[in-house]
Amino acid sequence: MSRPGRLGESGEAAGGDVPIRMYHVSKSYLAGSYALRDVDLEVRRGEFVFVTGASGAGKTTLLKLLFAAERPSEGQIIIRGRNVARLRSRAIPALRRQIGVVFQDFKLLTARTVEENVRIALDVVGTPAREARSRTFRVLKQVGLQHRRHHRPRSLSGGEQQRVAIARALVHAPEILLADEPTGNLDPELTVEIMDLLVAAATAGTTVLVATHDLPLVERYRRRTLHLAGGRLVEDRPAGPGV
Amino acid sequence: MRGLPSRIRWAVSAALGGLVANPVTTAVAVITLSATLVLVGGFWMALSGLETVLDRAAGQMRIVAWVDESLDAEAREALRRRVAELPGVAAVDLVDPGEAERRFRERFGARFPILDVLEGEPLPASLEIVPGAGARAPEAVARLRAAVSELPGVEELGYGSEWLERYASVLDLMRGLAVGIGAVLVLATLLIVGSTIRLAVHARREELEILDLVGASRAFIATPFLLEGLIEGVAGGLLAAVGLRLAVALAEPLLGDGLLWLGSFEGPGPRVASGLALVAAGGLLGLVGSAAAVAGGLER
Repeated sequence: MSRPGRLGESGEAAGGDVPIRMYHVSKSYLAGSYALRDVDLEVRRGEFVFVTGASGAGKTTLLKLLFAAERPSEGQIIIRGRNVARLRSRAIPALRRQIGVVFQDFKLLTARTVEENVRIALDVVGTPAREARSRTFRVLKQVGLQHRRHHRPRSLSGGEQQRVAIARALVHAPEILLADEPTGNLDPELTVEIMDLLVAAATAGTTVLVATHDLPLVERYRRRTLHLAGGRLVEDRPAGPGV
Repeated sequence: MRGLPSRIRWAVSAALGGLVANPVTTAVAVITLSATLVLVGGFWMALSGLETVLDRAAGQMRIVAWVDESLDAEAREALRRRVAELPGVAAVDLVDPGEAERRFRERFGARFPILDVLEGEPLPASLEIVPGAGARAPEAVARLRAAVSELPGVEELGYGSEWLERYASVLDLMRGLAVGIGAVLVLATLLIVGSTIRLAVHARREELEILDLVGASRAFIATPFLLEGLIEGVAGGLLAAVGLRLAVALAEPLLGDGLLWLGSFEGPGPRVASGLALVAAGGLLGLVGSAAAVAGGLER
């Protein structure tokens, strides 16, 4: 299992080639009971990593800690050179603008169009309207939904809704993309479609972490895999040969 | 809205969307705001009208100082000048015995022929003192009276405006009541507006969660709710202004001159100013109510 170096060893201002580092990270919701325990981890830029484990193994907790939805009980989390464990609440939005997040239940605004759902990630940072429109169109084209941009999410299939969520996660060109069971609600054909989009994002330089319990899917893509059990990182399997 | 900066466009569309999506709570907030403003505004109009009446009456108030009969014309004039120099005195008229007799005859004529049987100058000279605009309050008038009564040559003081003091104390009581009732109404309105915004925050939990995920700042998330409160407040203020104006217009033919003391709605200028004040007060109430709700409802 690869072990991270000392805190700040690489010296990069914004995480350099290792945008995610975790040092002895534990998360406990109840005294004596750990959702995550003593996890050490490094993920390199552009790497595609599966996080696997049974329900309750700590996959979702790990992702939540990375986008500061939770604070670690112990340890340090360095995202792009910044210590998330010590981040003030008012600094969290700036962190999240560097991270795209995709969920199993899509989390789309049902009253807004596809275009508005994607564009919101640009609106929150005040991107000029013309640029926001053009970037939204580009990313919708990338996920094959440009012709559906004026539709509401409810008129789309599950796979299409997840593609909208991925487009929203990618539209601001984040360095890190986190996906929590992104194919959990989809049939096998759509699963491959979504996974191909995530792999393409990693190929383009985005660091991608995908939490899943779908082991056949993990075998199919043969990427680096972190396996959690009872909150502990019990295996860090490198990517298969030729990947 | 295509040309607007993205954050403003989002805030406006989210606020309008929220208002339209919850028509009942929006209507409750607007009507409550409007009712409060009508009550507070109506009370304020009545109070300011009564104050106008008091000011006008106080402007005609005179303190009469009867002059010692032994003073000759020169001494009376010297006394007049001394009184005129006292603080709070706007003007002093010297009414000599001849003028006093002329006024008496003019006012009472043949009904009181007593002057015909008296010899010499039956009426004493007097000074009619006009208090300045800043010295018409009961305490100031009392101070002025004390100062005048201490001057040598002043025999007695007359003061025909005692009712003004009673009027002023009733007005003070009304002012106190207005502040108390107004404070209770404003507090109740803030609670109701706050509740409607809290409902809106609750109804849009999912939206807020998504905004939070994509890195929206607290200000970005809060702005649509503040805007909703502001819009509700302004709408309530407009409704109150129109309602009050209509009430005055309907009451005028029934009460006629009885409504003249509603000075704040006299003439187009004051009408517009009063209306704008109500709209501004409504906007402020809406904004404060929603700010309080948002502060409590958007805890990370």
